[in-house]
Amino acid sequence: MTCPRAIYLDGAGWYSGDGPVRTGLRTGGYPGPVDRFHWQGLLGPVGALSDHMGANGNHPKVPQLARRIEQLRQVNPNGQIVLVGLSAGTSLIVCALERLGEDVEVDYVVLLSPSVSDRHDLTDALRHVRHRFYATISPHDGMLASAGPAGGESGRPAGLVGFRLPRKMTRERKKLLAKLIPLPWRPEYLAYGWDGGHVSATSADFIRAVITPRLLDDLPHPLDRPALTEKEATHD
Amino acid sequence: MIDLCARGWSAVLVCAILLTGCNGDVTLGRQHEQNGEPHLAYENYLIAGEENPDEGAAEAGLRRTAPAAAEYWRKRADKAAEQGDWALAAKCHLKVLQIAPDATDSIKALRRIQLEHPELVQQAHASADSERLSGELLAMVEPEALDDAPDPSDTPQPPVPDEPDEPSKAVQPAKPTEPDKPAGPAKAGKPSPPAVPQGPAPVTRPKGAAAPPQPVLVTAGAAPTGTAVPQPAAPATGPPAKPAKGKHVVRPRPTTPQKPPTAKPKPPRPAPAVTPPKPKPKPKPARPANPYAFKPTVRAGTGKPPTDFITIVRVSRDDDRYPKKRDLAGGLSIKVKDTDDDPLEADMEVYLGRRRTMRNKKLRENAVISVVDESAVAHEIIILDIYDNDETVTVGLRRVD
Repeated sequence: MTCPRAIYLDGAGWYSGDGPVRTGLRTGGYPGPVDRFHWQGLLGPVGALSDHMGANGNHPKVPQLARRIEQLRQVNPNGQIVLVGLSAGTSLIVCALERLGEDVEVDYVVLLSPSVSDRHDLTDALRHVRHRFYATISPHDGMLASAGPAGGESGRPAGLVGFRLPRKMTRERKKLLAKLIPLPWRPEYLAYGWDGGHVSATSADFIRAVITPRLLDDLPHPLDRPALTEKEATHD
Repeated sequence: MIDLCARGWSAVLVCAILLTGCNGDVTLGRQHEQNGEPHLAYENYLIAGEENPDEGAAEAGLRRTAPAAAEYWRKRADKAAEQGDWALAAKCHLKVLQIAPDATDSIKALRRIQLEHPELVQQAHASADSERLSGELLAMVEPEALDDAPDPSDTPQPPVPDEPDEPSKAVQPAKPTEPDKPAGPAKAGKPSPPAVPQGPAPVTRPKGAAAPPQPVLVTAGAAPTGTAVPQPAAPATGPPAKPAKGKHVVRPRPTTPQKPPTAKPKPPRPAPAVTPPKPKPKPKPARPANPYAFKPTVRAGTGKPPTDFITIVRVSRDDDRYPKKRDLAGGLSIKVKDTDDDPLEADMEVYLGRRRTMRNKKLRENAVISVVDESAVAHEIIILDIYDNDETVTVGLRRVD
């Protein structure tokens, strides 16, 4: 129950993504342990579709994850908590954040190839993020292009097109959305093993070189471009 | 029978040309790598990787050259900082971070520059957003500044692996060097992305299927940036000739007719005994004389939409954040009239200047509208996304070469 600590959620029907993520975080200098939060059914890859469609707020593991975060925060009021998810696992992360108690916050969230709907309103989830909320985007993600969003939501997977901003923007909502930082695929990332594909976003090199530096620094990375700029966020 | 044979050979020839074309940037990258120019090799591998992320040779090339390329730009940044050129220093550090996102020295340096010259860092970001940073940088770095680039003979170069199935090895480099074009400073490959960075905007890269207008890296004689670069004809076979150290010119891939460069007087040369035949000028693609007479056409998109957009914009009838009508580029603008939910379709109007050139109903996602701009350059407007709830349509504009 010590912090700093990262909690990793794999994708639907996927059980081995924590290895490269753990390696990447460790080699990048992340000081804490990386826990794997198992949420998938017992059918393995065969049950990927049911995992994918069931990854929403009604999933029985969502309250468990929320409780786990709350317990961690209770024991370590100032310790760093990072949530990392892949594909449908990101949907559980977002839903768990929405369930957290009022003052409970995690420090960073990293959604790798998120299959959450691009129309999902992140405002409630972002209330429980202290620093930044990263979400990768790749137009080359063939798996997301062929699958719909996780949890049976409408829209398109955010990992393919990025999150849409809500239409009605209050000042508070803008402030929250300034924490959302898209990480679009760049060809430079080929050198770090992410070729824009769905699962290669968990490549150890990518996690080490691109993700970990962002978790070790309170200030935003110079290449971070928030969904809403500071100016937009403060402008009514 | 003869006809059948001829067809077969034509098919083989077309396949060979296609394969060669796909590997052009990788071939150039290898040449630069062999010449000890990892930063230029990196840029070529980057273009190849952008065009085809599954290209293993590009990925391997990027992995090989990334450390040396990052080191090159870090040195350039340090030198620019010494000279007080903070704009260049910021851009070079940004380039380092694009290559090596965990370069803590560059992160710290950029933050220092941000404190003292926030506007310069913002400008550097704008260049990075529009993905023309590499071209700008390579054009900005003075030739003499490049003279102290690491000598390939000083540092041992790792052997460049050859792909056994690399067809371009036997053929000349696929990218033409076009000697009669000016080598001006790299211009905008793409303008800034739309106001909202998510949505299909990150499709920028950004990045994808067909290549955006990218700088082509050319080694040239001692010509400073911005002047004409006489290019010797590339040999058809054999290894490429090693260019003079540090003489690089970056030129955007020519897409529009450019002004001829101001000619510099050349020293008189003795006339050769036999006058070589003049190379035939390339035939220019036919363009309509009057762009306003061009009637846009629409076709359904197939497969993945391209990603080499000049600009991506959102227009909306009900979402106050986006206008109903928006300028694209070259006098082209687009207006949303209506959207339907089932089937998901949009009614759009295309304008050239003030004149409406097309009104089309029932455009589906990925539909492609072929248009020309005020300079009669062919473009395509692609419907990327339709959101019926607030009648918002995202479109991308790309140039057709």
